Amino acid sequence: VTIGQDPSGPPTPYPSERTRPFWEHAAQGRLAFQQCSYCGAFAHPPVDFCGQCHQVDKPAFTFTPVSGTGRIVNWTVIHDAVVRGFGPDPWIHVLVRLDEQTDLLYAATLESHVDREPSLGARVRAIFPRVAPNIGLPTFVFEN
Amino acid sequence: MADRHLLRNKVAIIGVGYTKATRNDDRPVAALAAQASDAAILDAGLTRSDIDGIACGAGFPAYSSAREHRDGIDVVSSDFLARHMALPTEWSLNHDSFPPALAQAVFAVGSGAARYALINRTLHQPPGRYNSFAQPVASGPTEWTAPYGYAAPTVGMAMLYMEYQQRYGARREDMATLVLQLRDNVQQIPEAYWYGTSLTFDEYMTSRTISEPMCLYDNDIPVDGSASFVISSAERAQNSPHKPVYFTNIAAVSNPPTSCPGSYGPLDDYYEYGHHLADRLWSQSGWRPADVDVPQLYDGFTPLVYLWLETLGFCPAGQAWQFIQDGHIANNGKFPLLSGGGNQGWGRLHGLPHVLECYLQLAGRAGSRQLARATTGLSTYATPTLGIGQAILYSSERRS
Repeated sequence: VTIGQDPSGPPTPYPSERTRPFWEHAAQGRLAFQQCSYCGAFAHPPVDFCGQCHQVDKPAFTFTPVSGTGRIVNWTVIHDAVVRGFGPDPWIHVLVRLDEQTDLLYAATLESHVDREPSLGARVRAIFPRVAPNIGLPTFVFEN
Repeated sequence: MADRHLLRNKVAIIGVGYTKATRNDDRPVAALAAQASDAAILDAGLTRSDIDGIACGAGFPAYSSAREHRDGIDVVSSDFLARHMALPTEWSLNHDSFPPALAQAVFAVGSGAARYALINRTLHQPPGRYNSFAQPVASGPTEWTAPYGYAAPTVGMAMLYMEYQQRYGARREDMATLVLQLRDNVQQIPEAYWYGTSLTFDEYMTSRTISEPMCLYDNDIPVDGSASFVISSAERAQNSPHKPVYFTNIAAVSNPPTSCPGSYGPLDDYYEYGHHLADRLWSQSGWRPADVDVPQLYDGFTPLVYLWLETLGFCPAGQAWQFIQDGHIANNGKFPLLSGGGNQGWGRLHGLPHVLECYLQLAGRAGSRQLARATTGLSTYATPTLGIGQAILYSSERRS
């Protein structure tokens, strides 16, 4: 069953005007983040003003694809499911530092692996399982 | 660096009132708020007609769901309390959280905007699950979280705690020392939720996992409960029935880092940004960690105690799990951490037990648990890094 088509499945992301490009890229299998047109700094979640160069007169951004690879900063295994469509089996949730920028972080599910446990600094890459007709949900797997 | 605080010891707590923390109370929480507030006003030797300032922590700390928050039933706001207690207030404020509301009231009384201010926080345990997300689509901030099954803050806390454990070698066994001590501490406090219920090491170690490595007893239990404080200028406080307890310094988080949704961010951010608050607290007060007699560090999630101990400099980074061992934090030990039982002993009262214990100890009103030395106190709230975090220093001496 495709998750987004399951009437009791997990919630699907509902893009806003500002976040739509993120999800359009994700649907094409790319991780893309909002990038400042002046200084090149990436931001997640999207911002109205760049937190790096503080250009406030005429802020401008584009969504730029990144490699989708990075390292695990921290993680947990969630047992207590409070969101519809989750549980009873526990799942792994990770915070990942993307390779492109020290403070570019993304948090998502890590697909479990039969003989690997998460560890600090472990390398991961993004995949994009389809959870609704037009939604690919960025999810991490171990890189190798 | 900022100057010494101009309000140093110029405002004092002169009365307190609090209810027993319970589950499934059949009265609306409005009744608890009025009961606690009348008790605090009486304790301060005043009547309702003396209260000209009011501040409430009126946020409902359940996340992600579309839940209705009714005044007097789910939360209690300043407007509600002033209206239904017929308080002649001229200054009022609502804040999501209680300790920040208290800080604003101290500033108001210190500046002369109010003579006698009442500060209340009332918490309600709602029916059903505290945090839940039942909607089919995730929009707004939940767009980045709910599709991954992330809704409860305990998950973000668990991620930080996992990083801490992995980096420093701490284990759940080490945290058990703290949780058992807090449970022990409230066996002398009948109003605390866990009064009369013991907890063993084995029960802690085998309790249900919420989000690894956090178990049930690393989270405070949701309760119905309320506490009120009355504060005044130091001058007016000299006429009150009990010994006043003075606010020596208040430091709040400023310029917090932006955190990645679906997480509490990296552990390093907590050390880096937490030191900003700590530096202000110690430099403005002129105190050092060793000067604190009554340390009441926020423990809504148990790993927060480690973060506060380390960022405030009570012990080096990565060593809090060792610092709390070997009887060091017992009430008769060298560092009577959370002698008042904190949120883990009282239930989810969001910083009330911490302020209350500083007051009771410094006023000499802590009864059977009165510490041998209690002239200075410290209460903290939330985290040393995120937007609502703060720390308050107290003194029993006006000239400290």
